[in-house]
Amino acid sequence: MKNKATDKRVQKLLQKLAENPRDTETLLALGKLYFLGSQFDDAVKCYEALLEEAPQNSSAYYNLAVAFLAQKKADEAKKAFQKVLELDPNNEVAQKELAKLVSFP
Amino acid sequence: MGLGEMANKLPRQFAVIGTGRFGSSVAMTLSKNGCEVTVVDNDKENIQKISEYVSNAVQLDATDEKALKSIGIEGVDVAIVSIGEQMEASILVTMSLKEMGIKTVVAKAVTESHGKILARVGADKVVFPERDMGVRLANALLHPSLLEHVEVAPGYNIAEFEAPKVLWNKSIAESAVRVKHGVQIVAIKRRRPGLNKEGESVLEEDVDLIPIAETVVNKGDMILVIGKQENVRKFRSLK
Repeated sequence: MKNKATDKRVQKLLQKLAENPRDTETLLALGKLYFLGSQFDDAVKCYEALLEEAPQNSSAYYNLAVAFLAQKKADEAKKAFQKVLELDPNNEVAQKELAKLVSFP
Repeated sequence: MGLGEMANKLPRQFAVIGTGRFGSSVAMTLSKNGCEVTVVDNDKENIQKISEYVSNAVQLDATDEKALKSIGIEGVDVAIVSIGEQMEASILVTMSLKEMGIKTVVAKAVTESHGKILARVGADKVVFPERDMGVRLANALLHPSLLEHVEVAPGYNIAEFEAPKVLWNKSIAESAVRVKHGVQIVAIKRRRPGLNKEGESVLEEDVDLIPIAETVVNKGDMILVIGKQENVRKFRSLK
């Protein structure tokens, strides 16, 4: 993490998670903090853990897809965006991102 | 006149004849970039669809010279004839636009012979979108890491790809890109993680155009490089 304030927030969320490892809101918030700190592997782990608890959570799939994009894992990002659209067909941002991923070059 | 020269003279008024996929993309992109665009098509529905994106959308038969004149088409800087599939009509329209005195007429061709005829009747530039897309697709398939692959002059390429590992965490000067590799980095694109107003993840793109020698290249940066074809190819394949 790049700054102390963010670091503190991460510690706080990790503590919360230690008390309740299945807390989906905390997993999502932590995933986003890791993402903001460019810790994409950790962000992906958080979203994947969240999806084990809540497989229908389209926001988790969306954030997971963007984290995959940051890792330049286009295939994984594509699958995650497709999943977002299965759950939330009118999600325009996911529609646009998916269209960008499948268009040449 | 080449497309580059046209860009230098900054034409602002355009006419696009035909609202197929090609014509619509041209019209909408010009419009998005602040140009005044008049679109002409025979199909009422197509005209209705595009009307909200361009300055002027008119339903008329473009082969009717009088009808074209009645909307003041002679005043445009550039006309784009994108009715390639109707070969006869595209030739007729190209010819009348040139006869009206429009300085630059760009016409879409579907075959080589169609292109030759368009050139003969006065088209200033003939484009072959299908053929050109085919070349781009083939290049993209042959060089998957290469996002763009454009020949800027015979033997010289401009290409965009991920910065090779040898450049990571070093400035352009430290890596001696020009001396060691015979290429010039003309832009660096990097994506910054952020959150949008809904609180969802986004990757915001920063572009550093003509980066100074002290600019540090990071892992994951995309670089736009210009140089001799062979040098660009070698540089791209560095680990």
